[in-house]
Amino acid sequence: MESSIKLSKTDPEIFTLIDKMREGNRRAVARLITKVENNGPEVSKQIIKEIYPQTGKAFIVGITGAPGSGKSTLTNQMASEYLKRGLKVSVIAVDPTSPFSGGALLGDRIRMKSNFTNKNLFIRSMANRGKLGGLAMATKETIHILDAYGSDVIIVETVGVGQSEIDIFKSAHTTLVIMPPGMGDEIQAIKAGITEITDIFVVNKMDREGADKRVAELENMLDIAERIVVDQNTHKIRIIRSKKWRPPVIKTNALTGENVPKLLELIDSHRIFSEKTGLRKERLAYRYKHYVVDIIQYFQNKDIERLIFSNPKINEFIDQILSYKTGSDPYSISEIILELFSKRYFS
Amino acid sequence: MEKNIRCIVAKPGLDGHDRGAKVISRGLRDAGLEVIYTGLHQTPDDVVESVIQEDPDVLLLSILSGAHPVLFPEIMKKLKEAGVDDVLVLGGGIIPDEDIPKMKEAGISEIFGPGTKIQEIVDYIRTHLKR
Amino acid sequence: MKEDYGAKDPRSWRLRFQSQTAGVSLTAQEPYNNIIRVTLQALAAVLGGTQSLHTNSFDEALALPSEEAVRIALRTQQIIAEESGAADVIDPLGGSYYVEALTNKMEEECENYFSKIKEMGKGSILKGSFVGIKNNFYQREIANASYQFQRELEVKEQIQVGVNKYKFEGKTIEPPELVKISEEVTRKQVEKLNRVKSERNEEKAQKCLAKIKEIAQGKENLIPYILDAVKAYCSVGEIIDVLRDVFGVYREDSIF
Repeated sequence: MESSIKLSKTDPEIFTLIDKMREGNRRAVARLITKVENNGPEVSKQIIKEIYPQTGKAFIVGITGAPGSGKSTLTNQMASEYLKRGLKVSVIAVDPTSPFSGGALLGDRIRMKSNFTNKNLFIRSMANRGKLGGLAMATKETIHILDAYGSDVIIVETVGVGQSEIDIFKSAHTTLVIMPPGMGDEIQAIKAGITEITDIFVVNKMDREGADKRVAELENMLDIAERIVVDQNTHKIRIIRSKKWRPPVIKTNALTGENVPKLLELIDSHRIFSEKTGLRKERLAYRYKHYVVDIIQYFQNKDIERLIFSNPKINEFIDQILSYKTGSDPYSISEIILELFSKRYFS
Repeated sequence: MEKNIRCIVAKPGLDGHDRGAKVISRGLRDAGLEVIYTGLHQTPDDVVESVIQEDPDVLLLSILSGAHPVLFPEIMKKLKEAGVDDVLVLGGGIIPDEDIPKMKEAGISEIFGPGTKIQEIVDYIRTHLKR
Repeated sequence: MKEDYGAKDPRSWRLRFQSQTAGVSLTAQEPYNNIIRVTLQALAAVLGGTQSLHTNSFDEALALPSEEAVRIALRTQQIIAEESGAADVIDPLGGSYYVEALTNKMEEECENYFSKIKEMGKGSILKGSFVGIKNNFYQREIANASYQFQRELEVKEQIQVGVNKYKFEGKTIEPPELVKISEEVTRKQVEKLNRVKSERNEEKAQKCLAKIKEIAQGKENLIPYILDAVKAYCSVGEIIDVLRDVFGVYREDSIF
């Protein structure tokens, strides 16, 4: 049985679009993103294979936060600042797909109206299409596309639910978590482990009551976190965040833009710090390991599903399972199938 | 792979009556579509730039101020100039019957005026996608 | 006002309200039916004691209002006022079992909203009102209510005669000439505006605009200064530009 990864059909339009993208054609960029969104890894494979050497240049900022924290408005301010510096900026705004209807209201673009026709800004809204709060693979591929297109900065912005913080952390060079001022509520809004993956904490809406309180709570939490010993021998996230970078906590007002230039400076410091200490390379290694796992799992799952659900040979195995003899239980049968499968796969 | 229908709901011009556009946006979302609502006071350039970057399957334009005879054709012209020819463009709001033929000539596929049910729009979209 | 806030001026105890007939209830199909709808709504407002009333034109769902439609909307009010007697009595429905029951219910639901707002303001309705604006409480209520209304229309829980019931497939009476705005209108208006600007006392106009900018940064009432500017033939655009400079532009949070 041929493996799915080798069977992917070639889409000839892709090469035309990639050429156009290299000429700076924004519509071509958008069409490529649509292709990865709608057609999955089979098509993404061809695109990434072709453009990958042109990637690795953009600086990727990940932003996550609870609804109502002012993420999109802050993203807009940050984009404006970067644009002022003459940089090419791309924004990927991810919103959750409704689990009931399968649809989504992608409401981030509207916050960036002031910059709509600036040709150095590219905004793409994406629904996460049900990936349980995580980032769809399409988002990661979109980052590569926008990188190859020539973006200097790519801001990926998503709602902080489920796995999304971890996924953003896996995709970004610097990760920001945005919080609203504390309104008397417990900082249980801060999830366990978030100190491990956040590079900069931003308390937005600094003009409101409770902003300073929130800052104090965060600093306190970070004090405690620093005292916990980091386990070097596991593959867990902890070894990624160097103890020497204590995440700064900064207040901002996204509506007025107050402190946003300072925020950009902090992001810059983190970037420089990562490069100097080798942290950047560690993170990239972490990212690509997970990426490779995702890709392999995707194609392997497809192959296994094809085998189990479409191949008539499976019926013999099912008959065995239904005989209720010793050694014919689903686990034992699966072991047998898996061995046969691996032999074919790697032969 | 899940393919969702992506659409942009835009209000070109100075018209501030957005209740209809918002109700439709929510209705489309509940019908399973991905909706990008770009808000009030969009210039034709704004609308076209959003279409270029977001690459939607459908563009829904809402105007209640009577400015459609100018704005709709201008948007269609700019879309053409930008090489966008496979987006289904629909219009809504207050558009007198007698203006509809001219709007269709300009490239708007259908006008959905007052009294339209959300499901009508969804059904039309599903059967008239250009790609 | 008297009990909760200790207001002393009897004028502050009054409830004065303006009513507008519901544009959303008017249909494009069989537009003349809208005259009846507007009449019923206007009558309800008058019977309810409104101090000020706006009646919509019957071609609301078709185009910008025509002269004739506006005239009929006006006549609606005049006929109610002069011929029906409804405006000659204070509270003619007082004591009606059903209307009083509805009024009580409405009062109850209003009180619910007031306590919610008071809670948002931690005991102050004034503070709560601002909180409601900032956290989009009102926008959400409106969005949910309008979406619900649309849903009910679509499943016929709400009836719209001529639209989802008693649909007439034949030819109805043609409404009068619909209002059309041509590009000529734009050109003429721009021409007019430029003419006014060139003929006015420019120094005076600029002075008024500068004054508006100054006052806008303080706490004084702007209206007298806006009136001065208008009398000096400053345009709406010029005045708004100045205010925009001082206050910034409102950016909508889209609440669905």
